[in-house]
Amino acid sequence: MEGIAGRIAAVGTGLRQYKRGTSPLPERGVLIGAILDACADAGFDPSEIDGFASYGDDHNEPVRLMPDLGMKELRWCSSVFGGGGGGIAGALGQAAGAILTGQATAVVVYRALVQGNSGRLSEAVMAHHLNSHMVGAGLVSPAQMCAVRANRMFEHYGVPKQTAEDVVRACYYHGARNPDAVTYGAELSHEAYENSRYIAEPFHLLDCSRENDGAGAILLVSSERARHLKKKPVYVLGVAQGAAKGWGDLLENDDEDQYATVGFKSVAHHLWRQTGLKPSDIDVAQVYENFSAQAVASIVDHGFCSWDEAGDFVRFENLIAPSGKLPINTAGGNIGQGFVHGIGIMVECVHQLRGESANPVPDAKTCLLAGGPGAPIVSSAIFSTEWPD
Amino acid sequence: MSEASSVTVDPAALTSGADHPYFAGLMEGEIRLQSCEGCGKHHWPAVFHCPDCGSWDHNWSPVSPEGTIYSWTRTWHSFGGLDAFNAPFVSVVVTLSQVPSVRLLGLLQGDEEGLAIGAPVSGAVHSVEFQGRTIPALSWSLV
Repeated sequence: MEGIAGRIAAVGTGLRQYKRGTSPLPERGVLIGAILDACADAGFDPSEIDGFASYGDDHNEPVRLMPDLGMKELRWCSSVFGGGGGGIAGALGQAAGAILTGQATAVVVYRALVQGNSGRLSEAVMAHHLNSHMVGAGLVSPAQMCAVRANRMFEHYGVPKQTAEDVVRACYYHGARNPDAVTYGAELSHEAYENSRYIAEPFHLLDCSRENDGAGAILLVSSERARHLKKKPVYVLGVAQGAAKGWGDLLENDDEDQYATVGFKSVAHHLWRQTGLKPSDIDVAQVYENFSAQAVASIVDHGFCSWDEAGDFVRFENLIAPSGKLPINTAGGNIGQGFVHGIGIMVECVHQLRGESANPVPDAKTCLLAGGPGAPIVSSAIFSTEWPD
Repeated sequence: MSEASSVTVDPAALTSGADHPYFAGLMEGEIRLQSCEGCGKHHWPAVFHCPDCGSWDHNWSPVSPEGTIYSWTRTWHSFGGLDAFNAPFVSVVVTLSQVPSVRLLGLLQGDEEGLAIGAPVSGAVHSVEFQGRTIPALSWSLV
């Protein structure tokens, strides 16, 4: 194993989530709360935080968090380029790099989004991409851009549309059993899915992630330090971020072999190489689903199955805890749990490996975080209960 | 929608700069594509610098507005700024017959019978209204 190799651990999490438009505090206030929750979870003094990493154009500059947290100094902060969720695991990788190189010792990865402060997420994401080529074709939203890719995947590769519905069903199934999820207690019938209005074909409304108000935070420290904190450490085995040649903001001119993918060709390769693991070593996965079909393609991109095998592998029974082959989005994911730009699925990686998930996967030792799919740069990470040393 | 010949627009407002001649071409009713003066290769999206031969000089030549549908979506939701598009409407990604390494975007106009990946289309220049801008664009029809 090379790279991060378990030398960094997640030791605390905080997630505050509200229905869009109902946040009790402005964005920074909610974020401060989530960070304090993460510190309390870890038994860590917030004044000892000395670094921050984020992604997706978070508007909360780290230096402004210092007074409320009582921080002594800010030694390092950074953010991953891009307006979408593609940078979520990349932020984790940046934080790990800062700690491993001595630039910081306790880094919080966070994302906060309160509509009254930052507006609609979908519009903020598109502000990065809009150009006259797309506008001229009436393509102005992530849903439409992902729909064009999804149609290619369904039509050209013959992936059954049932796979997308099964991803949505799995998210609802887990969300229905998670008291903290938007879909807690909700049932999703085939009819309700199929009859939800079209947004952009092939996507119905229920193929699309929600937007919630809220904030999430994950506290990271060195694995040595993690052993002295309150909760069982969850180790970061590896992180990869980036894009292969022939992918990324290319006006739909991505290489033929990548067009219907969601961009993980190089990232998945590097993740498996760094960690020495293979897809069959993964016990549970949190698969960022901005849209249902993109999660299906992400599962293929990460090597769990081929295009031809997707219809067989990406089935509801395989995707649910406790006994599916690859339980995904065990808190409900962006579709079922709620969507604060994906930070909730990173929090669930930690909860799941500590045995705190609402939908536990028995004896799970490894959890994949497959970051925002289809973005110009994407990123993924693997967490583990065991320090490989 | 209006005829391209009647529009005055600053295409640079929503372009990378390298593709400015593409929009200038549309405003004169043509699809013009970039090819490298050094090695002749088509780069799309347009580049400033050719990564293959190192040239900074480019030619912009007209290509025939014919191609096949590579992918598509039909938009039903009324997204902000798209009032003039009157949803539902179909957006297409088109592989150009003359330069198959290049795909262009556009709206599908007219009969939608036979809409599918691989279906042949022919293109025309028009313009669309978006947030107070008039943008030269392509419309495609199934043939």
